[in-house]
Amino acid sequence: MDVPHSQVIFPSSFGELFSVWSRFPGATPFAGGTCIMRTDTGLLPSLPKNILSLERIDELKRVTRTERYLELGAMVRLNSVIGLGKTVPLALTKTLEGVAGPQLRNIATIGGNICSLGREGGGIDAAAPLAALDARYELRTAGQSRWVSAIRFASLSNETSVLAPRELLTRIRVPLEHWNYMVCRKLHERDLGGENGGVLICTAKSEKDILAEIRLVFAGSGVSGKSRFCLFRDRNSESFLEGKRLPLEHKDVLYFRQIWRDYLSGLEQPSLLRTKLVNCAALCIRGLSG
Amino acid sequence: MTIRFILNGEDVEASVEANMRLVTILREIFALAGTKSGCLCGSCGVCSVIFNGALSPACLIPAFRVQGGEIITLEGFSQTDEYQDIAAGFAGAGVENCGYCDAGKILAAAMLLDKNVRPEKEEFFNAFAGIRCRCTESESLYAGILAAGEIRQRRIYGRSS
Repeated sequence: MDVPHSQVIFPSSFGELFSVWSRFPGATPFAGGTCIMRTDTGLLPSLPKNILSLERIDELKRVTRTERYLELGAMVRLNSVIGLGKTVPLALTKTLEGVAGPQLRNIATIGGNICSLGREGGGIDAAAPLAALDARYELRTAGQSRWVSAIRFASLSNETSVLAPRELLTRIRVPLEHWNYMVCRKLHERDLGGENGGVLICTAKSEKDILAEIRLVFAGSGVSGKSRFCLFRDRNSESFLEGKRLPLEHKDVLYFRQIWRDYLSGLEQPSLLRTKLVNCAALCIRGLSG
Repeated sequence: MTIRFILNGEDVEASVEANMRLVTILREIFALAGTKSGCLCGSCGVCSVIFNGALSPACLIPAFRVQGGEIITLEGFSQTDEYQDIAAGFAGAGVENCGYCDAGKILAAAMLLDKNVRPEKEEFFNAFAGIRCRCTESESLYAGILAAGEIRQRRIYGRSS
């Protein structure tokens, strides 16, 4: 089999990385590589012609914690994030524990999981909890860096323009807030007719038996199967519940369910996914109804 | 490209294509057939190796990532006392050798016992979530892990706990 040879470059700093990248503008950054390696299951996979291995850039593997934020370098392995224990918000830990097996999580990276959204073989798991937790991503080019919210990044992921040319996701900043309630439900593709799957996250915080804040986010493969990505968050249903006394009354749960149904009916999604999502969302909320 | 790395405790080098999978390098260049070639997408766990101290699927590691790394395969691990503990524990619990998943099963057991010699069932299921084989039912495997943990404790401390 004739597979084109790949040239691999190992930059050890951002300066070196962007300098090499400007010389090879078509080069592909390579983090854990699980998405790229899984796409081609041949004995000798065809990799991109020019590869920028990010393995030696130590800054990308750094984890820092302040009083308000947890900052994860994009090259932090999924199992390392899980291994941080209670430092990491439960919504993120629980979701990452559901990603493939432990072997794969030992090489897959959080940045890779985020950047492979909507790509064949890519992960979709981290998007839902990071959107629910209001995480922000640092995107860096040779000359500047900018911060983008997880929701905006995910909702643009079906376009080709999320990352500018020669721009790299370098850091993930997760706010450390105290959430009293968290439910993570993984919807498997096989449960939804083999085409769609994803993660539904519900996080809520209460003060003196009043529901102070709630976020319900679904991220998954969307309308045309594995190659597209969708992210749903309905702020109407959230604001309907906020300020209500806990435990929620049954009629509130029913009304919430109706709002979600209306929200999803306006979207171009298979009916099986819509029905499943409405039921799962109602189940998540039922935990707050005592 | 030429890659240099540590394989089962020895410095080795090999001339490979950058996109060659580690599992292919191990089987075809170093003739280490204990690492099986399975799904080639990281799902079945039969190609598991210990790569830089973590259990990893060799099918998803391209040659260029191996440069400077350390790899332990089932053949290398079988020279250790820890392997003997696991083999004895598995034999006592009736866990049969399997030509397909032994690398994954034994190396996953080793990594689990390194963390906790008396793992809870949930830890056990998490550790073996990436090994897909129908050779052994989970109860026997769990009993084998616990037995191996006991044997290891006895070997190291002269008592079981």
